[in-house]
Amino acid sequence: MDFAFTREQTMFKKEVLRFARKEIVPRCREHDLKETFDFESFRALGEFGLLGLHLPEAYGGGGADVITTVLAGEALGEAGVDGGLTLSYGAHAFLCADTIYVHGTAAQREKYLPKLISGEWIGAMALSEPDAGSDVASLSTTAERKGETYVLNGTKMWITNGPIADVVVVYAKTAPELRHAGISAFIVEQGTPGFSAGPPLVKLGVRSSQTSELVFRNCEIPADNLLGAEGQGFLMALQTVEWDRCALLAPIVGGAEYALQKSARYAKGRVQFGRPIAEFQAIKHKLADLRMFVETARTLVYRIAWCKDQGRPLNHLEAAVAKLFVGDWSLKPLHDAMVLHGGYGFIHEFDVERIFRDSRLAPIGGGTSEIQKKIISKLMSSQAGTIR
Amino acid sequence: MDILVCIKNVPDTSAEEIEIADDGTDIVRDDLVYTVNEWDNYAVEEAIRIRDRVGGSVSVVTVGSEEDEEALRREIAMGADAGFLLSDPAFEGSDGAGIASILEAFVRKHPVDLVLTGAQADDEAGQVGGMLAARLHLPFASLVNRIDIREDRLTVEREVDGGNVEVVDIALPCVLSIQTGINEPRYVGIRGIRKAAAVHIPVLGAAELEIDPAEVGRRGARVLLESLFVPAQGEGAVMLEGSLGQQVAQLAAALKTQGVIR
Amino acid sequence: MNYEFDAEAKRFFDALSQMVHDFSLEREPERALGPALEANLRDLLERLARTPYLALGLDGGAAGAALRAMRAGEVFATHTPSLFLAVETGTRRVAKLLEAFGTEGQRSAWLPRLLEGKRVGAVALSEGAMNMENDEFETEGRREKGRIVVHGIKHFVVNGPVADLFAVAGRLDGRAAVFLLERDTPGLVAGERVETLGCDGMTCSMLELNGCVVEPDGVIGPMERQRLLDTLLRWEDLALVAASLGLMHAALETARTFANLHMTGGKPLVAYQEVAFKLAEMLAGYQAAQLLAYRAAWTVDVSPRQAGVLVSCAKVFCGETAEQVASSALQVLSGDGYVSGNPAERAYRAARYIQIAGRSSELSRMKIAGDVLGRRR
Repeated sequence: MDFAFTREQTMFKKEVLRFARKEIVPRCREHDLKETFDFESFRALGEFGLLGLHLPEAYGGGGADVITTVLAGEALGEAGVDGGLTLSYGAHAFLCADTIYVHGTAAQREKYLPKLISGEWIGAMALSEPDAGSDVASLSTTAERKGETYVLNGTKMWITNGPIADVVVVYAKTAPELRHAGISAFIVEQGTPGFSAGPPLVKLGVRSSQTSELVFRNCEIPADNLLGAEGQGFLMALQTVEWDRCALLAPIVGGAEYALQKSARYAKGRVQFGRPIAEFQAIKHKLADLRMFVETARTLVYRIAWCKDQGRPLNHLEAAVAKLFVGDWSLKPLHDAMVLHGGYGFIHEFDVERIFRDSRLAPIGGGTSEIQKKIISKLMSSQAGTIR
Repeated sequence: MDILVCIKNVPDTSAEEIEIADDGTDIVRDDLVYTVNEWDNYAVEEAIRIRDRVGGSVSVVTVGSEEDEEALRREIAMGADAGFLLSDPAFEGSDGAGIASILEAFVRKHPVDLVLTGAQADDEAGQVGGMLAARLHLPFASLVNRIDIREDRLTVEREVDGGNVEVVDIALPCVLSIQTGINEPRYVGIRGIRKAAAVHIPVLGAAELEIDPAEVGRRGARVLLESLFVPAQGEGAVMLEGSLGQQVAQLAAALKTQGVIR
Repeated sequence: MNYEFDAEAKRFFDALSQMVHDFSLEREPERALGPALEANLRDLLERLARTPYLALGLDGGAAGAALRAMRAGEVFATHTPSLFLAVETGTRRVAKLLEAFGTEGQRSAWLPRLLEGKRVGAVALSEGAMNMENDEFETEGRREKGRIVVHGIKHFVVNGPVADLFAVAGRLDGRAAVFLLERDTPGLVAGERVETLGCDGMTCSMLELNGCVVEPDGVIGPMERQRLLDTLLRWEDLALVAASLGLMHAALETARTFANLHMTGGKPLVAYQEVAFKLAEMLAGYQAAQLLAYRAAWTVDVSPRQAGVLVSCAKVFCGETAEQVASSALQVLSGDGYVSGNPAERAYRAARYIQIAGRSSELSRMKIAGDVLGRRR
């Protein structure tokens, strides 16, 4: 066993921190408050090389391994980048661009990847529907083959980057009777007749990311926009879970580290009863609990990243544990970090309330905590039961 | 044009709190995160831009220990062509003049057309560039925030008091200390870091540089740091509290009452 | 980065697990009473001496010893947490102390006998309070005619009723020192085994030192008090962390097996979401604790100076999670768990010990916060 990062990984993390603190963070508060997407920051992420960090250099990517990529996400959170921007980045890079890279044809890659990697285009992934969230097999959006086109009909819900996306990977049923096996994935471009996005939804957290409904009404797309073969969509969606359980969790862990640093700084500077509140044991306990969360969450998240770097198939049990832990175990310590700031913790300017709100997506997005427990308990009971 | 940039690895003050050690002769260095001195990044960026314009090479050099190699690699990742680590137990504890003499020895072995330093580093002394120039008998300009190349001479602009600019014509080879604001240093991407990881960085000690160990390091130092301390808190300071908006309002009110603004 | 143990290490863990498993089936050490308590410890020590286990971390600094000891301790404690703690916080801690601070003579006199499993050791650290962080030692050695005479009272001495060698922490010349005392030393009185809430197979007692005479070569130190405490507490904390992993494993497996086999309302218990999801939460807590513990131990191996905060994080998190996991297991087991003598119930009681022994959860949190406040702006 070895938990060390390489020298290059550590150097890169420092650089991401330096970049994000100077170029991104100064605008985060305002965009979170106004619920506006920060196009300038998004393009800066592209220019710096984060949007395609894990994709091959041939398309303008960084060719980095998974651990480095996850480390970059953690660094964004640690620098103080809001969860809205990191979520937009995650949906764009891992749920859209990565799917096109892994399953796309040479022509599809050539057409989409360079622009997604540079940030010229924004990507999204559309799987969930108003009546199909965790239960993927019950999707009702359909794609019907008509000569050289597919015709899409249906409504997608909770689509991160939905209102601003130039390119969307859409999951729809080509053979509804086959349930999971009848799901296929398609690339749909903005401006395609019959494709429209609803207005951005107002959210508790990750507010600078734009989330909406997507509507497909006799939306006709070229047959060439099919990703992979018909019926492979479910497996493609499942593959994005590998990224979801590491690269999308990492900014939340980094955000908790940022909250920890802010809390420590505040506790040292805030004087009550004639001494800094950092000297009170109850305050120290809160700091200790947050640190324990951060350290534990890190080890769980990098385990998923390491496995992916080894080229192993996702261990669904370990992935569910990481997701469940980050989602559920973060609640109390991040709440405490907010309370530690007293009244200042409750106002926008001190960031800790934003980190708390942003973190509340963790037990919901990409599979709720209940779904994680369902996965874990199912896999647990199928194992042999002896104490060895 | 062959350019050498002298850099220093310094504690990252954006992430760390600096505390004075118990004996008062240094800061607490345990667990500090180090990074390249901010001014040096501007100097390296300027060197890279000049090289890209007129050709030549950029080398970076630092006096330090094994841990400081990372700083050299970062600047190579930025675009410098080569890095040199000047490291020897005899160099430890050098004063500004000692560092300048170590660098001088290096420059004599690796002559260049232009030497750049940051205007200052973590100790805010800003002395090494000038001393290095004197030791090399080269012309020197400090606080440079613009460089124009005219064949074998440079026209440089210096930032002087009150935001005024002084324009200087200076012969090559020369030494310049670079002020922040001269350019916008680039960030280092993953590809640059990967490339820099493969670069061999020679380590040169007193023997290779033909330096008399008695002349440098603690033994050769003629300026010694006596003590560091936080000044005693004086009277009359007012801490503003509340949100940023509230603090600004309080500040404006105070400035008005004191007659600073009307 | 690498999240797996190598094949050789895994074979070692499997063999150790099998050996302790067989021993536990045969002896039921967690139910032992009277003389069996001592016999179990001595017999197991002899069996352990035939494996690489006892010498882990004591073979001249072999790489990765703390991490190996962590996983080995976890599999050991899964079967018998009491004997694991007796071996670790008694015997191995004495050996660690000798290795870190002992003279050549002290090491050659005692280390081989401890590592051959022929002698049982005990560390006497606690006095009025279990944690000694805030209080000076009252136990003291005074120099008299070239010898040292020790007076004092020690509490919560693990292996107290059965040990052959006592390492007694106290004051000497105004500093900290450890006095090495054999069981038959005149003036040394080990008390009766005290009744405790948990760790039924482990013995614990008070220790009186009424003018025990120690030759100068029987003293480790004197040394700086914090250095002594840090060494003693680091290895105790690591052992307690490993024990908590074992407790969680045993409690979880017991609950999982029960939930799969026990029928209610015509279906197995695990078919009810309220049970299945509880098991999932338990597993998540266990895995999180496990990885944190491994990382803490790994840090002890590769950069001991930075390891303190992670060991404290692991100590608090693993100890508290062990109690939660054991508590959930009891809820799943229902009446079967409430009847004494099952691993979940034992784990629940033992988890209380984990949280107060070594550096207590409270003191550990102070250490963690100290690190957070010290190194950050």
